[in-house]
Amino acid sequence: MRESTIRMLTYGTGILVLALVTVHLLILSPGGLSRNVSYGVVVRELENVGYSTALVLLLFFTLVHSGLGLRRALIDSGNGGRVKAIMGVIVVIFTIVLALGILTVIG
Amino acid sequence: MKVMVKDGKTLNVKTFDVKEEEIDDYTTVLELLLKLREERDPSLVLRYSCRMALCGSCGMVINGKPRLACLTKVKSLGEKMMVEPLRNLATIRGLVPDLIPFFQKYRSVTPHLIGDEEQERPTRAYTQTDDQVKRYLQFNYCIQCGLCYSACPIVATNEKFPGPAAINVAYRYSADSRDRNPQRILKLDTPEGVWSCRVAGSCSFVCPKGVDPSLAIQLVKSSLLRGGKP
Repeated sequence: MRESTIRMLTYGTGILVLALVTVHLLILSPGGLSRNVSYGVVVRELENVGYSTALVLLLFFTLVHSGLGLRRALIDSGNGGRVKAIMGVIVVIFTIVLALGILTVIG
Repeated sequence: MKVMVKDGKTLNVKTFDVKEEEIDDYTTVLELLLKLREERDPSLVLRYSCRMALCGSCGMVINGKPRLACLTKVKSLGEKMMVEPLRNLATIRGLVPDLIPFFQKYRSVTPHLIGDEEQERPTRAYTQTDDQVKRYLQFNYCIQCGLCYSACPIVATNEKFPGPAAINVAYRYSADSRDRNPQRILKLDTPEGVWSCRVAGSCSFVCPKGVDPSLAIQLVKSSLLRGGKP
């Protein structure tokens, strides 16, 4: 994949993360933090399919964006030769994090 | 005034005391160094040619900033002057940098026009509009002095990075309406290529000809995001 395509992916996921975080904060803002993090409210909100999907997408885009950022940081720090190996480990960890996120939402 | 000259090979620093009457408002660093070599220390080694900021031979780090010695007035530097060879390049001797890596990277971007068959055997004049010329004109003033290369923090940390001058010339020819080589800037679309630039802007800050290589780099990035069309 060309580096400019990877850069476009980084920019695109960054914008999507910003948009989804805004949606998340707007939904959380009415009623105050202590009410919105209470067990009953969280369970009720996760039953909303649209909001749950947005949360999973937020997690997915965050992982992609941070993974690509990490890759760039590794290249810039002179670890270009080890990028593939380190990114392989990162992809496994991020996949587990994404799976846990999905299980939390649907479970 | 105290003048210190650092030998890039031995790292020895020679110190000279220069009297006020030996310099005037127009004395350049190059003139002073040549005078010191002539009168006090024949072992001073430096590279120069035109003495008028056209050839780009006398680039050196003066008081911490890469500059052309022929363009820098001694009086503008204060009471102390420290002269060192260009950074990010090995030193051959004294103040003379080894510019081979710089020019290897410069050549790697095909720094000349690639025309089509019609241009090789022209049947008409190849005119350009003012707007077509303006797209590349300011980038054309580069004299390949290597100051931007010496000032670039990315070149210092990533030896595969082509450097500001090479990317600048790649953009200059790609933006030329007569050029037919789309591969020139596509070759820079690599992890170690144009995307390594973090827009420090030091290349544009030190350029003695007012070229803005940092802008050229961002324009190459923009072109690549649009599929490689300048």
